Amino acid sequence: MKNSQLYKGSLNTIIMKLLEEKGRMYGYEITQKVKEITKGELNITEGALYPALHKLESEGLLDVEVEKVDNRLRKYYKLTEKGTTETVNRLAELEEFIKNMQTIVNPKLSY
Amino acid sequence: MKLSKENIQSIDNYLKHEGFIYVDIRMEMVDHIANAVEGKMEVESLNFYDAFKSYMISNKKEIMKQNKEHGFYFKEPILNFIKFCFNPFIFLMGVLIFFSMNFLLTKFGIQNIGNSILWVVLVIYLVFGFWHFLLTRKKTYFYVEKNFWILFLFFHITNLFKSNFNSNLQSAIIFNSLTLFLFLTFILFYFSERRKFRINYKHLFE
Repeated sequence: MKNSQLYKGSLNTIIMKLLEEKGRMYGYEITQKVKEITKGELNITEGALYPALHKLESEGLLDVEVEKVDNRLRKYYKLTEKGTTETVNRLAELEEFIKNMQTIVNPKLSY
Repeated sequence: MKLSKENIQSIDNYLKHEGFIYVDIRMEMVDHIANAVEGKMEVESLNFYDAFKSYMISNKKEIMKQNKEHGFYFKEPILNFIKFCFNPFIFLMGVLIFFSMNFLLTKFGIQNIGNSILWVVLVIYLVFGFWHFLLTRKKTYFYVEKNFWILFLFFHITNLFKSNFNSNLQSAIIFNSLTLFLFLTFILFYFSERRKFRINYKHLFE
């Protein structure tokens, strides 16, 4: 993942935001979607994505569905009710963080 | 370009050989690699073998991290078990066990009842142990393994403390109630987790 230390803390929120928009997604689809949105700037690695997904699942924020697609099994993730509420909170928290960082990094722009 | 059944089987065999023993974990990695390989075959006009080899050369380290993640995993099943205990039915069962144990130990003595509880615990452990052996003989599922650890932990903790707590009536009531409660709750927890798993992962059993 590019600039891993800066992005790492936001990975769960990124995943939850995408799931909020798309309804349900599978691992590879999430990596490709992030790449597409950021025009290749942000690349989520397998080593970062799956532990994050499994942690969100174990916290009860994500639910899973397994389906047979193209000769193989695919695991889809979707937000639970608790996950949907948590996404709103985490996005608000992230926006607040970005606003504060902007005030510190570029004070002129924040006015 | 979509991969054939044989191609998918090759990826599955490769991961199995690399130590991805759990079917439910491997399944997700097979799909991830298959998607990436299909993409490579299309964009770079490669055949399956070259695309797979090229993908694994650059991503093997990241893929292998998934396997390490599930090597030793106590925290999540224990937390889920604790959450499961916060349920009115389980609480009521705990209260009933406590009062029954109080009555039985007072009436029949620590020796008789304490030993019977240890036998019950041993039978539960052996039955689950045998079942675990049968379930993991051909295919190993992570959900089975992680939940079996809880029983393994309870059994050894019980054995470690049995002589200390069965020395006087008060501590014997608490110890035996707690032991029976944990083992019976484990059975309910195990079947509840199994049911959830079999619903979400029904295609794994087809």
